[in-house]
Amino acid sequence: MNNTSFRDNSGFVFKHNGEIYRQINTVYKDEYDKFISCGLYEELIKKEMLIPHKEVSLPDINNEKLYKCIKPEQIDYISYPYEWCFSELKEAALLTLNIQKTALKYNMSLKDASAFNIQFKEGKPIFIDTLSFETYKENQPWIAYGQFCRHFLAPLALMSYKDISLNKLLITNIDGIPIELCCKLLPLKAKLRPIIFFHIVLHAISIKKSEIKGHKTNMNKGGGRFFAQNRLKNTCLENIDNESPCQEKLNPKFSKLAMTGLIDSLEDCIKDLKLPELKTEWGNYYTNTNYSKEAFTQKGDIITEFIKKLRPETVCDLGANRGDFSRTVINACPQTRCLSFDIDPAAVEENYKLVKQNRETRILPLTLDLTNPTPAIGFANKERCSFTERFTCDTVLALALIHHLAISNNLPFNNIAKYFSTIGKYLIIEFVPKDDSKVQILLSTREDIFQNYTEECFENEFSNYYTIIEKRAITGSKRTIYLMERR
Amino acid sequence: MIRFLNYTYLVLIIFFLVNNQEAQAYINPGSGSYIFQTIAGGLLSILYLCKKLVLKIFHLFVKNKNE
Repeated sequence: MNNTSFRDNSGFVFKHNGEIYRQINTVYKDEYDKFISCGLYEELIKKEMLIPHKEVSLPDINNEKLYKCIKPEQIDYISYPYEWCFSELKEAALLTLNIQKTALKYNMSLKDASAFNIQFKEGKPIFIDTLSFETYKENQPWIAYGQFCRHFLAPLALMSYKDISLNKLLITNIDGIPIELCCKLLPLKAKLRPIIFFHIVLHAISIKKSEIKGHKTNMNKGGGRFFAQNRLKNTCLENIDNESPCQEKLNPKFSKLAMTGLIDSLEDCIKDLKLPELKTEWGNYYTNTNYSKEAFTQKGDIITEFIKKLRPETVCDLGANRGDFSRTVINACPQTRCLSFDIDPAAVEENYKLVKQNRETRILPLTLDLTNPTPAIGFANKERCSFTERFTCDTVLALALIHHLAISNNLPFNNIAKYFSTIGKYLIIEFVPKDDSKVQILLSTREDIFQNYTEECFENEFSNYYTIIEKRAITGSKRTIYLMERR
Repeated sequence: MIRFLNYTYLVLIIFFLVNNQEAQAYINPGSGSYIFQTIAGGLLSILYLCKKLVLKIFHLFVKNKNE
């Protein structure tokens, strides 16, 4: 069983011969059959909102819970919401709401609204959890509303109003940023917006009030009809899991119209969230570069030549900035797909905008701090995998990166080479010497303790893990590009 | 249109603040979101219907103007 799906009673994901499958348990039989037969599956597939699957029979898989086995279309790389930029998360949120709206047309509803149920495929978000659908229950509120707010609304509001990198809070909060925490962090300006006030501030107050426990209720003290109603609901909600007869008394009277209104209101709220003008550390990197135009073109030509020689299926562009050289890579080879990583979420945002603008399907921009890559999180540290577990590729591209790792972050060449060799078989790396103006800027505010930062040391240390195949100097600059193969 | 939506949300907020008394019983985590929806359900419906109506009138005017 895959470690990401053990919480789900309806089925689980597993790997068989290196491919992903999903078992559907008998307990989910009726819901699954309805989902397929009512036309919802067909519509979602037609609109490319859900990952398509095929029903398969695997002789090796046989257990008493088994109803069916499905093989979903495989996704190359699994990415998580804390690695996405603002627009990626926003699109994922709107897709979730769109799916819920479509499901309601067929009298079905999403029982989960987890951001982990969305993945990026060919430049677009797609829903991957086929077992998230259940029959719409008349008069019941949207069970996934709280989760939607924690997984999408809270991080997006914080990114929009506080800081673009605050989706990283999802690393420490695997089931989404608590609404109360989001409410504390949001500035007054955001809270004064009626729609945010409603979905975050009032929502947080409601959660806080509901969590007060252990007191005996006193109907005579400050009662009111909502107090009594809430108390009944609270007592009933305790017993929902136990299918108590009390559930019948709950009668929350949340009509389908109210549900549609809720989804519409959330959609307005998400669409309304925008990033302030981006000030990226790297935005003007290429315009302020110390390359001449010819040297920059030559660098692109060298990358193109190396990529044409290697013909990799997958490339990890580390420190990709806005993805200019990721585009060089995909243009050089028609089958290559490129993961475009950068530490700066504003640069990743720019990169994703270019992906949308150019309708590119082979680039996936993600945020990554190479000096502290995404960790494994969740129960037993196994629910969500680390960067290292998920991303291996044919070729690693590390252009104008080595000086940031070795000088700004004091990482020895040996450690960098060792780590890069675990990511991909081939390495295209640019060495930036100490007398390069960019390195001089880095050294201008600190003591130069980097006696080993020389081309000779670089070659020696990298040779412990790689064989140097080719080495090209960039004319008009002091930099060199290497093509290496893992030993 | 935005002014209208803001006004409706304001009504919703006042309604919530006036009516929501402290719930003093132990409940499952996440139930707060559930209860919150049940309180706001009626007004969310009204808001949605009003929005649709306003958009319909708006489109009618735009259509007439274009014609």
